[in-house]
Order: sequence, then C-alpha cells, then structure tokens
Amino acid sequence: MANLEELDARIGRLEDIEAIKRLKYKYFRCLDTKALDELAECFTEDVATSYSEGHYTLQGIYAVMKFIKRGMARYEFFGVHQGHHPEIEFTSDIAATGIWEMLAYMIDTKEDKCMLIGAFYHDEYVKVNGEWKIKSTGYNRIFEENWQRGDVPSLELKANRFASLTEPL
Amino acid sequence: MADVESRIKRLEELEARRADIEAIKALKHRYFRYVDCKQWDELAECFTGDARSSYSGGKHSFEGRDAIMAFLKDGLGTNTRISMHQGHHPEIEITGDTTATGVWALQDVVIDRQFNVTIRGAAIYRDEYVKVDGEWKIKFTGYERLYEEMWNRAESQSLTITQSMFAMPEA
Amino acid sequence: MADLAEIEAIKRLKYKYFRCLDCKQWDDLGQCFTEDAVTSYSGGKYAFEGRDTIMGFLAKGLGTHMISMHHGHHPEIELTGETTATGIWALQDYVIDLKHNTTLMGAAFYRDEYVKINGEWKIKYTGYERTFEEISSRADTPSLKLLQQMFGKPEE
Repeated sequence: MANLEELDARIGRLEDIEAIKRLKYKYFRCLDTKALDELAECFTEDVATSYSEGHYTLQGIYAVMKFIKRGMARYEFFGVHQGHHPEIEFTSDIAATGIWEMLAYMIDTKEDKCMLIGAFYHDEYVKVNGEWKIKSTGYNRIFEENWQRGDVPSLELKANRFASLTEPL
Repeated sequence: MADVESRIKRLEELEARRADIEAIKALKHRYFRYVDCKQWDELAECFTGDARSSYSGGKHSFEGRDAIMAFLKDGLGTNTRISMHQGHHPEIEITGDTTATGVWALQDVVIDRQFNVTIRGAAIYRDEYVKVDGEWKIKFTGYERLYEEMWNRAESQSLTITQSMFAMPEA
Repeated sequence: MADLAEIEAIKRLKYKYFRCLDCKQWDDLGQCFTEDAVTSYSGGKYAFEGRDTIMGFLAKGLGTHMISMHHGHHPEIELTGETTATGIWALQDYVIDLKHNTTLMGAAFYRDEYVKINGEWKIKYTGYERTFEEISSRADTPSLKLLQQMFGKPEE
C-alpha cells in the first residue's frame, strides 16, 4: 500500500493534467470570443511563441499579445480554433509539456475568404503560484487551405457573434 | 486505524482508475497523431500483436497488427494524401485491472491531391484496450460512419493549399 | 480526487448527450436530462421547459433526413457543490439536410448547469450562443455526394 505522501503526489499529478487542459481550453475560448485581456492571463511574462513552423517567433507577453491582437482584433475575422488529443507529460512538479492537434476554421467577411488549418501544437507549461501558465507555444501545420466564399454562391452566414460590433478591440 | 487504511486503499483504487483513463486517452491521442503524421513504426506500437480492426462498419476488417498496418499504410502512406483524424468525447470504461473499452466520436478530413478530392465525415468508434506490461494497447478498434461525403476540389476555383506537412512526390 | 471523478462523470454525461443526439437514440438522450430541465439554444431562439418538450423539439428537428455531427470540446467544468456543477463547452456542428439539400456548419459556446440525482449527473440547464453559423446549398458543388450515412435513404 502506498504511503499518504506518494498517493498525494499521484493525485496531485492527475489534478495538474486537468488544470493544464483547462488552461488550454481557456486559451482557445478567449481567442475565439476575442476576450484578449483574459487571454493574456494564460501566458507567463516571458512567454515565447513559434507559430506556423516558426514563421512567427516572438518573445515576451507584450510582443505576443500585440501579434495576437493584430491578427484577431478585427471583427470581420472570426471562427474556431479547436485543440484536441492532449498528450501531457511532466518534467517536474511545476513544469510540463503538451502536444495538441488543432483544427481551425476561419471566416473573413471583408475579404470574403475562408481558411481551414490542421496543425500540431507543442507547448511548455509552468506552475506559478499554484496556477499553470503557458511558457512557450507553437504549431506546425499538417495543412492549410483557403478559398473564396463566392465559389459557393449560396453560402450565407446565418449567425455571427460579432456582426453588430464595430468599435475596434 | 483500520478505517484510515481502508480509506487510503479506496483512494489508491480511485487514483489508479483515473490514471488508467488518462493513459488510455493519451494512447488514442497518439494513435491519431501518428496516423496524420504518417509515423507508421510508432503507430504499430499502439496495437497488440493480435489486434483486430473493423473500419466503416466492418467494410474494412483486419486481423493482426501487420494486416491493420498494411491497410493504413496503403490508404495514407502516400504524400499525395493529407489527413486529419480527430477523436472526441472519450467514454472510457475500465472493465478490469488490465481491460477497458472506449467510445469516441471521430471527425475526419482527407485531401487527395492526386485525384483532387476532399473526403470528410464523422463516425462513432468502439474500442477495446488491454494493459500489457504496464502499458495500454489497442486490442480492437472499429467505427460506424455517421456520414462520409466527397467532392471535387476543382469546383471551388480558388481553393488552394498554402501549406502542407507533406511535399507532393515528384511527378 | 473525488472532484476529478465527478468532473470526468460530467464530461461523460455530455459526451453521451452528443452521441445519442447524432445517433438519434431519443430514449437514451432523454435520460441525460432532469425532468424539469430547461434549454436555451441559439441564444434563446429555441427555449424549452421540461424534458418531454425538449425531446419533442430535438426528435422533430433531427429526423432521418437530417445527418448531424455535434462535437463538444474544451470542457471547463466547475463543481459548485456536492451535487451541482456548471460547464462551458465549445461546440462544432455540421448538419446535412437531405430534404432541402443544404449543409450547415457552425460553432458556439455552451453554458450548462448539472445536478447529481441518486448518484447520477443530469443536465438541468443547457444553452448556447453562436460564434457563427453558415449554410449553403449542396447543389452549388455539383460533385458533392454522400458516400455513406448511418440511417440509409430517408423516406421520400
């Protein structure tokens, strides 16, 4: 039979897995609802990113949030970023890595375009004052494709969360 | 004292069960990643030697790891095909110390650049897992389609792949 | 530890909800709800009270001429008491209407409330707000064809 300390540690690890998943879910929710202030809470101050196979390499929360805001602040550009298949490994009690498979489907009503992306995220997380944060994040695409929405003449938006919003973020 | 011991034992059992569920989810997550990254040696490790599969409601049924791997490689081994298989909603039941079942919801997209078609669909997976030497493996995997559809990519004139993990083979 | 087991049980409840919805297993789907459950789909456009009313709406809306895929992601489950909890989910749905020959695709955020009754979690309230929803005629893509479907050809 395990002693209480060992058992405590093992249960703690399971709780950490759930907490890291919640962190990444919050990241995607904030991205898609354009809750950018809340999104910043997911990162450490010294966060590093490597989006699109390293095309967009940024250092520090200020640079990263500026980049994300530039990409996502437009209300005419919206869609879904979904993260699946988390493979979370611990390197210590306060550090972990995560691999996620992402599907992103984005609509640009100004350019009248759509894009579909499949990619693998590779993340690093640290536990700071009891809370997990993203220390580094980046993705390599399986594929990315885009097309003009006009190619499907009947394609029509029936609902759009951001339709009535005009003030820039 | 006996009460404390039995509570610790109960916690141990609960923890072991949760750890097994997480390990099985991680196994299936790796399965999907290896399929889409075309990592066939690593994918083979996910199966037992005597694993069976029953894809598309039994249309593609195979016995033994080698036969399953041959089928998957035949379908997706070429760089002309890009795939994205995503499994959701894992309903994992631990049925014994070393056995478990799992139900998953699949969404898949396959782009065939040779025939210029997109195939996409959804299905419900039903799996069986066994724990061998402390590691979970897939013993049986099968799915039944909710739907599958296909269309000719040339009908969307502007449709362009701007990035791909797999370079098209030389003509 | 007990919390983790409850969170997993609530995830399993929602997974069963989506599976029964897409497999049109209406009796099993009914079991996911409390009797007095309330729904508020599409920001309140489809609001119903009571399990029977909710089931009536879902079964009518998803007859065999409708092929549906509802996937829920990113569960953020909070336990608010020993027998109560809330959940946020990211929905992606894809619905083929064979009668009207349309495809619908959308995404939304669910906000749910759950209660534990006699040891089993049930949905007490479920509602979602769309991020987006789009619809198109399948005829615009002449080559688009169904290769397989679970429910066979719908009645004429």
